[in-house]
Amino acid sequence: MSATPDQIIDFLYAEARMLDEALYADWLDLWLPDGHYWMPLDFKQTDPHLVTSFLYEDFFMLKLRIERLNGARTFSQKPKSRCLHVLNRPFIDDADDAAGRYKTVTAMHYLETRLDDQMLLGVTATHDLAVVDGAIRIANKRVDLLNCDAAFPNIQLLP
Amino acid sequence: MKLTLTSTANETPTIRTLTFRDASGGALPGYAAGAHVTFDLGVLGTRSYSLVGWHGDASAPEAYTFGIQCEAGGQGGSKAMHALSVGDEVEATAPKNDFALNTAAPALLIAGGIGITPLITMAGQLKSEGRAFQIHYTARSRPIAAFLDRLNDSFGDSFHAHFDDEAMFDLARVIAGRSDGAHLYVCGPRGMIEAARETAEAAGMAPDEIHFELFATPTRREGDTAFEVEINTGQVFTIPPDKTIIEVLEAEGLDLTYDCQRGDCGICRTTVISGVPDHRDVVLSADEKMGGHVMQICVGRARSERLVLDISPRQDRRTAPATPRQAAPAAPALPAQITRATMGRYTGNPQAVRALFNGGQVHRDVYIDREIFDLEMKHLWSNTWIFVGHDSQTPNKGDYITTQVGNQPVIMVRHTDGEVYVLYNRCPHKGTKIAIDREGNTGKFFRCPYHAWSFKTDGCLLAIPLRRGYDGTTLDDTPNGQGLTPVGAVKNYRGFVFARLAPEGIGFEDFFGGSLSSFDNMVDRSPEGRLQVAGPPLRYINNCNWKMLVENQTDTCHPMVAHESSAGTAVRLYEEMGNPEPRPPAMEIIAPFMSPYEFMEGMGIRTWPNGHGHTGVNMSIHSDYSAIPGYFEAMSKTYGADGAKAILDENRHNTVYFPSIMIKGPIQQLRNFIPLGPDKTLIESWIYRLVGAPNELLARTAMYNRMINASTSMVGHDDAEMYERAQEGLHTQGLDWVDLNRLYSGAETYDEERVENGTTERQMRNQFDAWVKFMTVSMEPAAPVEAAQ
Repeated sequence: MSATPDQIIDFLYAEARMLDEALYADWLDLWLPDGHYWMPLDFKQTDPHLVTSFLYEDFFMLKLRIERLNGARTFSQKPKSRCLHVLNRPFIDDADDAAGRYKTVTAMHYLETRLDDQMLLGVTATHDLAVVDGAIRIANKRVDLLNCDAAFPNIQLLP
Repeated sequence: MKLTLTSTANETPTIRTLTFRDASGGALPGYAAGAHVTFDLGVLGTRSYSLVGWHGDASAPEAYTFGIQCEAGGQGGSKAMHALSVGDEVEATAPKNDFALNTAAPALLIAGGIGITPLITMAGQLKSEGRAFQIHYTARSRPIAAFLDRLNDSFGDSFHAHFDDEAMFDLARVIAGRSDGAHLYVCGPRGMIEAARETAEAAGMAPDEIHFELFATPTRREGDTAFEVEINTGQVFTIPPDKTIIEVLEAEGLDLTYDCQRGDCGICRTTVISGVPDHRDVVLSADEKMGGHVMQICVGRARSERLVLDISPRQDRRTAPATPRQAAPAAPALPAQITRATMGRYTGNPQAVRALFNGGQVHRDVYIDREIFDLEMKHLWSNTWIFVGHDSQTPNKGDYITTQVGNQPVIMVRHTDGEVYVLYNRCPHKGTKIAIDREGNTGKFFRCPYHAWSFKTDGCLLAIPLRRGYDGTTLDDTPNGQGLTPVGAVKNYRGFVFARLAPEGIGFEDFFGGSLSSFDNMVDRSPEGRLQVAGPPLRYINNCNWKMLVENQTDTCHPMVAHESSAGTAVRLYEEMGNPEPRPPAMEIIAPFMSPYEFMEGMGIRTWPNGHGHTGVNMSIHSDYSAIPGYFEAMSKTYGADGAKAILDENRHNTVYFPSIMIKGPIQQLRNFIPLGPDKTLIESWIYRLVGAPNELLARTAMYNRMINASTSMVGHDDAEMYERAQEGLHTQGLDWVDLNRLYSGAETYDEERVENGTTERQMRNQFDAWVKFMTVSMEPAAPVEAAQ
């Protein structure tokens, strides 16, 4: 089970669009159940466990995050935030067609806005993708912030 | 021999021709092209200058002529030569030649700047012998090049001048165009010689065809001899001619402080107890050099057989005072009219400050008023003990971090004595921050990047380049001349470093009292009784007053409301999944935030005097964490089973160390509240490893930190939302007071430890009681006339 470069790149653009359009249920369906969404705190961090990260979310946490965004008493989302991912063309760094496993690196601008505030983050997303039953899925995703060592306000959606 | 100066002529503004004859009127020794004479300039040492002869044969010269450039940044030798007057006598050696012409081969002569002098003599000799040569003279610009006209007149087509501001000198082309078998002679600055040698070798010239003379003051000189250095321990070291004092002593294992190693930074300044130093630096003043009681040991040598130097095997010596410095005295009071001009409602008005807290309510000005914020920084945050950092952030000598105490930038640094010092991060010269990276190692001293003022890691001034420029000025009489200013007081409590900015004030133990038991419990949870910082902190900005964050730490009536969207949703999702085991980590960390009011009431709140207090006296939301295999066993080994149980049965939730931090003992987390303005606070959330405990504990701590406190945390999002809405809401004019009346009896005092119902707002009242105390303790009331108005 393999995927062509065009299929992989289309997948990454489609994933970003789901987040921008708040199609969270569709987005969650892209994930393999044992995957982790990791946003390290430190520049070039290697360990998600024994030092702090921004996010190291398993499927339960991701589901909780998405449910919360839709909740009636989610005060920090009254009004709701909106986001926009502006992608560079992804690099396919590793491709194992036989196993259907791919690693991609995508640089992007991430914008998030709510009320009068808008934030712009430089982001590098590294995806581990797997082709399962003919469909591309997210096995793991790592999102590095260019200014990871800065002091941030709330970042409420998913870069 | 003795030479008498017989004439001088200015060639350029900085280059002067000096002509000498034998002082006794006798014949001068002859010389060949390339030779130099060495002058003895007394305490300045010796200087060598090339002989300049235009006419070839100098076997019986009538006079010696030199072209000497006054080096503004030099060590004083050329200046002393320029200062000679006609008729002055100087001691000099007979000519010596290390740069002789090959007797037969054609020559390619290349000069850089004043390096032209020996090449003039060479060209003169080559011309008189009718041999082939070319002479190239490079200089930065035409006006500063000496002897140009005479070179043109004397050597005609063989002479070529090159000026950096007119055209590039093409070294490779010049060397490629040399006559067959020509030897290369280069004199000039080091860079030029290196470039010429490289180019010549690349062009296939043999090493013995390349001749050069460096035109610079070497710190190692011909004729240098060995001498001895004795230090305070009585040890004696021999310094050979080709080694410096620092090189020898360091090789013998001594710990020395130095930087430039060329005699211009001043850092290695050393007291001379006896012996006569041979100064070769540019830092010491003429008086200091003549006095002979100090020297720079990176370049200096000895004129006596032995120097006895004030050097201890360890570093703490030299010009700095032996005892740690005291904080600088407070600045003198401003003149009255200035005080009045800057004074608002609260400055100098302790009565008005006291009136902002009436026991059950607090005035909104404490959160939104700029003047109050400035007074908080000046009084409250200066008179109290503020968290700086953990000593595991600076484990080695010279390790430092930069941070803030209140709004004051500081450096926390490990000094050579192993202690942690806290210094204001400001060069006493122009104000430049000495260190700007969040952490690093500075070695044995800080060096300001602006003008290279240097400071020992206890703050003491080490050196100032061209120190003599401050001779006779008021610098030494001011705090600026002492070095980096230390904060008023520092205390390292079980690894946690606190500072009090004010030089005088309440002691550390008096201030924190019984509240230190929370620190004790957190540190005791390590089987080795030791914590270690784990990675960088989360850093986030909330657009609210710092006190809102501090108050929220013991606000037990908000979690089930504000955090319903995260904790409540987690509980519901888990139920929908059929309550599987093991629980997802989120259920252990986030779900307890939905604990009901009854649980919070039963947790209990304890307060201590001076604004400190904690939630979770009886149990807390940290009580129900799963056991980690191997941990209790490791704890029992250290404390015994009963001791370990007693430590681990304490499940204090949040302990506030007013005003600056909150710690969570059971999960080794510390939140540092750094006020940036009345409506802006920087929070750092640190975690620590329990040394000797299984990694799983640290993994849970890191998980807690990111799940609850990150800028991306679902829990944190709602807290920030509440603070920021409150900050905005408090600007309404309709209501001036914020309510803190929950479980207030009206007759509270805060000078004793108390335990109360877990939903009381007593701890917030306790904080404002301390707030008033430390805001007003150092506040001088204004003049009676004004108070009466």
